[in-house]
Amino acid sequence: MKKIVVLSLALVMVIGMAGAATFAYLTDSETSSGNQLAAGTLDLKTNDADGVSRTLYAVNMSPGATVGPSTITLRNAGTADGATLDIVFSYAESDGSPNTADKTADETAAMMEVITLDYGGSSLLSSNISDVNVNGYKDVEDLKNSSLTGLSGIAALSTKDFVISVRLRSETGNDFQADGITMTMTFTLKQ
Amino acid sequence: MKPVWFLSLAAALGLALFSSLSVPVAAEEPPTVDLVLGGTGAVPWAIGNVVPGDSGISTVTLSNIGSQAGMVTIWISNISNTEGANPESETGNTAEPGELSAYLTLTASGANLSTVNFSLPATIDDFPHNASDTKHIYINYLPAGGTIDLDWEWRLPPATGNDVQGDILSFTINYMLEELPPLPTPTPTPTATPRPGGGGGYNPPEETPIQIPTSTPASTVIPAVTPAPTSTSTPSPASTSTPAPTATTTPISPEQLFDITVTLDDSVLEESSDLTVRTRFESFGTVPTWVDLTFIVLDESGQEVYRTQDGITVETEFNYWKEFSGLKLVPGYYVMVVNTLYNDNVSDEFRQDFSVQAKGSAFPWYYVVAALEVIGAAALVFFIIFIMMRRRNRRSRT
Repeated sequence: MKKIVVLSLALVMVIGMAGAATFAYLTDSETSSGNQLAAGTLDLKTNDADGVSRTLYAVNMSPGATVGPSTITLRNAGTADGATLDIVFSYAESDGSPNTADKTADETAAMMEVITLDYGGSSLLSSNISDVNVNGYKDVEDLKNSSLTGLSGIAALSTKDFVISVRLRSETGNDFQADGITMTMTFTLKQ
Repeated sequence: MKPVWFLSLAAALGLALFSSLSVPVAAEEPPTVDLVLGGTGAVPWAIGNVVPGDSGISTVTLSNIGSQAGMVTIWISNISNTEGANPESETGNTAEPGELSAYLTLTASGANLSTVNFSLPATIDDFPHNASDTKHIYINYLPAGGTIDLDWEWRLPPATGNDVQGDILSFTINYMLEELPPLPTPTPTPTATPRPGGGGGYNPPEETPIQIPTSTPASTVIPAVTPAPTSTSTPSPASTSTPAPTATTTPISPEQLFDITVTLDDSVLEESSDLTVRTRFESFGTVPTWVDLTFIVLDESGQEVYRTQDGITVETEFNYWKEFSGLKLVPGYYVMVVNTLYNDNVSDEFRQDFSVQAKGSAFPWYYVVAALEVIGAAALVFFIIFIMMRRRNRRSRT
């Protein structure tokens, strides 16, 4: 009787294996592993520090006085090339005291002629800045109202210098005594 | 006879009997499917410094060096997102994990490629992540000895922004070649069609080479299928109407000819949405051919209750699975009519009966039959063993 049980079990196993082998479809798998994609970085630094804005103080100036030239080194510390650079100028009133005849920031900026505005060794004054306020020269107010976009970019791990200097016009009158502005330049590097 | 001989004989008989009840297997060579990857896409991708707007293509060659045709299921696994360098300009989520897989899109293109429940291009996150995923991407036919080039195109959309700066994505692409289930024989018989040249079964041209005299200009157009006077599934080759060959002949092949077979995955359905029609094309032509497919469901009275139309391009062999996930039919008996039209004027019609059972009424007869087969086989072998043992006992008594 024991033999019959053993034989029956063996038979069931054989039939099961045969059935599984017959009903299972053949498969073969292959893998393509270790695929990796890494995103690049675009990291603009000014004078080798984080932050994309720099400030120029034009205060306590007398007629004919100059601020600058001030050089800001722009570095692309990322791995991807920056294709274009945008620069935006803004300013705020920064007056001294006493200030008997207070002039606005725009009025003060209009008296500050831009002497130097270089980027990457080329002047931007002639090609990128226009005399928006039509006062006969290119001043800080004109910088604010001009479009400085789409300038040449900075390759990965490369630098370009930005240089600026401004002069308070010699014909500036006494009404501007103690008036000053603080200029902010914001740089945006784009891929 | 010793028990070991009884056991061997019984096992052999059992195997032979069971095998005869299931799929016959060629005796000389065991069937195999063997997938081999090649091309640039088979080596690990190492793509760095990807920025929004970037894209690229990596081609993987899939070769079935086995003896059986199969279909290839593809999925992406082992997706790993790492937050890389965090430059000051990176915005959004700067903590682990990275976000690249949520933005990077992949698309695959190649012969016989299909997707189910998702469309390409898709982000890596949206791809199927295992073979049993509800989403599928597969190459529905890879013949034995055949090769298909699959182009993987990755793209980081321009609108991605700074969120992914420095992020690193790694993943594995899996390819599983699975033997295609054999088509039932005989294949469905095309019904009569009024149009000439119904292209059901055409003998490969090498058996009856079409020959034209060399004096015939090379640009002469010889119709691929000669219109037959009556509808038939076997078109006559053009050679029957060409002049007798001269001493020097040039064989030509019809450009667009198919063998077409249509089968239902299951003809007894619990839900009409389970209906799946498989249309298999085997091309003997030489050019990719556009085929219009019309699927019509007729009810018991012959009234049309559903119709849909698809179009596909067939280059060589192609299996087209049509699913009807949105189909709602009341329980009853139906006919699936599949019309194929290609080469402007070659049409075929195939009909297959099916039924939709009231819920709970569909009985799994297949399993009952299979179980009975197994039990029968076991009983037969058991009976043989019993007879042999009884004889042995008698002999030992005498």
